[in-house]
Amino acid sequence: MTTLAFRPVAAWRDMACGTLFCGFALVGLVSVANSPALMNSLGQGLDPGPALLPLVTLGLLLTGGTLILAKGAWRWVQHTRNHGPTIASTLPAVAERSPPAISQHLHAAALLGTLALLPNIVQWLGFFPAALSVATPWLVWLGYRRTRRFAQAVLLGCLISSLLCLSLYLIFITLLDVPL
Amino acid sequence: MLIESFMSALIETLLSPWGLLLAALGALLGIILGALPGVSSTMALAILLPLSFSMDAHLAILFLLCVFVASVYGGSISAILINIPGTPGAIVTQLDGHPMAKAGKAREALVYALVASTVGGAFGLGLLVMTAPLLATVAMSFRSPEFAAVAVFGLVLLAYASPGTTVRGLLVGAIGLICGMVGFDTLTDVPRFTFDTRTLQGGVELVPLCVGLFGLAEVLKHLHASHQAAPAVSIQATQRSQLKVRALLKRWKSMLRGSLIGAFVGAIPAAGSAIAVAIAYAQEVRFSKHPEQFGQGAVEGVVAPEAANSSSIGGTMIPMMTLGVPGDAITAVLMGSLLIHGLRPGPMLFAENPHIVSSIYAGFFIALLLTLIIGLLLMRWLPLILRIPSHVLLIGIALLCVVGAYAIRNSMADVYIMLFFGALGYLLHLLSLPSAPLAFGLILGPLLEENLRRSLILGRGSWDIFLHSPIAMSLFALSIFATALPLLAPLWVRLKSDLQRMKVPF
Repeated sequence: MTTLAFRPVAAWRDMACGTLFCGFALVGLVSVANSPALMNSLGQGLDPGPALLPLVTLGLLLTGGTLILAKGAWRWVQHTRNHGPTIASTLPAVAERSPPAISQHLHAAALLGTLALLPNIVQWLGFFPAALSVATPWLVWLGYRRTRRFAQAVLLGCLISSLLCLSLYLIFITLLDVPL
Repeated sequence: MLIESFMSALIETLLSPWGLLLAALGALLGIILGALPGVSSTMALAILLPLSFSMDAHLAILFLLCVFVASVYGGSISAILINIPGTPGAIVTQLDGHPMAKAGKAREALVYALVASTVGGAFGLGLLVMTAPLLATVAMSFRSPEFAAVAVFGLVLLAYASPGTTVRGLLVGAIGLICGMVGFDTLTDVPRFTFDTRTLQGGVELVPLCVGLFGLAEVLKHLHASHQAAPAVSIQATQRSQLKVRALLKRWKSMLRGSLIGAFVGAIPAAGSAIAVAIAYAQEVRFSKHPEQFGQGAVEGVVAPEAANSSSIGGTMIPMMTLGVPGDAITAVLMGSLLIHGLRPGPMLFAENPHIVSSIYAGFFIALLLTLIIGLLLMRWLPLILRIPSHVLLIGIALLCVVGAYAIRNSMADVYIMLFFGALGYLLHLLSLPSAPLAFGLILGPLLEENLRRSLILGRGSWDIFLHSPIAMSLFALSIFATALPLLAPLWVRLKSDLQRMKVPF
């Protein structure tokens, strides 16, 4: 019985890492396998072809990912078999960093979403209004979270976002001639 | 010849008002960004990289080197004033710097850090100037098998030194390798991993990857906690100083020791500044007559790590400039800037573009001087910089990432690629996986593939060509050793303890 067996968070993390690596490898392998030009280049002439290194790398990625996935699954099975933590689990549990709650990722996901929309809004409204429409709500919301004063957050959010967007406009569009 | 070209590049920059202005702006931005908690030197460089696209290669390098050097010193500001290191390299500086600040000696600690940083940086530059041409000459004799082995060794070493396990670092590096293969194959023009989309046909550029991975991903990491205000520092904290030049000169031994350690540790690919400062601090404690004072505000505890931190810059640039292998994540971003300007770091840079090499040396020197001058001038305003609300900074950086990614090729595809790597960087952080090997894989992938295929063509399809190269074989053996070491080390420890237990009678 090892202490490693009682790390549910580590087990989940291993399984997630393994899935990520295997996922990347499988998507890549499917892409290579579906390309006749790449597959036909194998073993033709002295040049090993453009498919050799991708296949070797993807093979290693798949093998490594599978092993990590199996390790996580084994840890999880050991944990469930022992029905939760025991005396042995107290030591590693202190050192183990538990993953943040789902709610902590909402801000990150929302910002990614708004930034993904930004190029479309830029094409529709132009750079300055588009950047302003993204920056202002964010600055108002984050400012409100910080101070809990709505009027102050709105005022400062509008002012700072205008300054930010104006600076970006002046630097990139006026000075560096970026065609946005 | 070397000094002549260095001097001419230096004078040319000093006589150019536009160049000096850009350098001063770079140093100012570097100090400010480095001082802000949550903005590392890598992030500072990644988000300011797009500003350099439209510049001439010499000016771009000068600007980015100023940001790089200044941000390394900037990291010590928040470490000293608010006990939060601005950059990973300043992690040790806070141990004695902050107690000094609490004892009313904040300005002294900052001046010690700044001067040690300048001395260390100059030492690192000296090492770079002396050793890089020699190493480049040796690397000139390398052929394809040696370069393929260098790429494998670099990737393994960079994964080895990344946080987390080597194997996971290598697997992240493998994803980077695959990302480097996206687009048309350079030899046969066969499309790879494009999924029949135009977005991916142009390949994955290093700059959007770096901006996403080291810029946007950091914003996403810190966004949730942006409502927490950093500890406030009184504006009076950095006003008074009793520090005299004689007191500074007294610390020359600590500066020299720190500089030596930093430069040599930094020169090892992947070792980086965080390891250098830790070793420098440990050595300083060992050499001190009063080791009990460390952690209580010992000046040597600030001087030696800061000297090591800055001197490691020169060290990390040695493998980048001579072999084309980035010394750490920051030099990976710097490489992106050189690549954008059509300059491939490596031994051929010394043969084909010696003026660029001289520009790098001169730019480094100017960056050190300007960091010292601007650092001293800015000292009294530093507490104000630390009051910038983090949410303003994060949203500003996020917008800068988007605009910067677009500015690379004026293409929305780069924006989406940057966003993808931002999300991937955040995911890697959640899974406790290192993100830097992804960038290393992207840089070293083309070097590996090109030289591997060329080697096999030269060897008429036989892998024996690698067996005939002692350098390549040694590098492959070292790569296998570095990969196996973390797997074998626990077994070795267990075996040793078992043997010891067998010797002890019950």
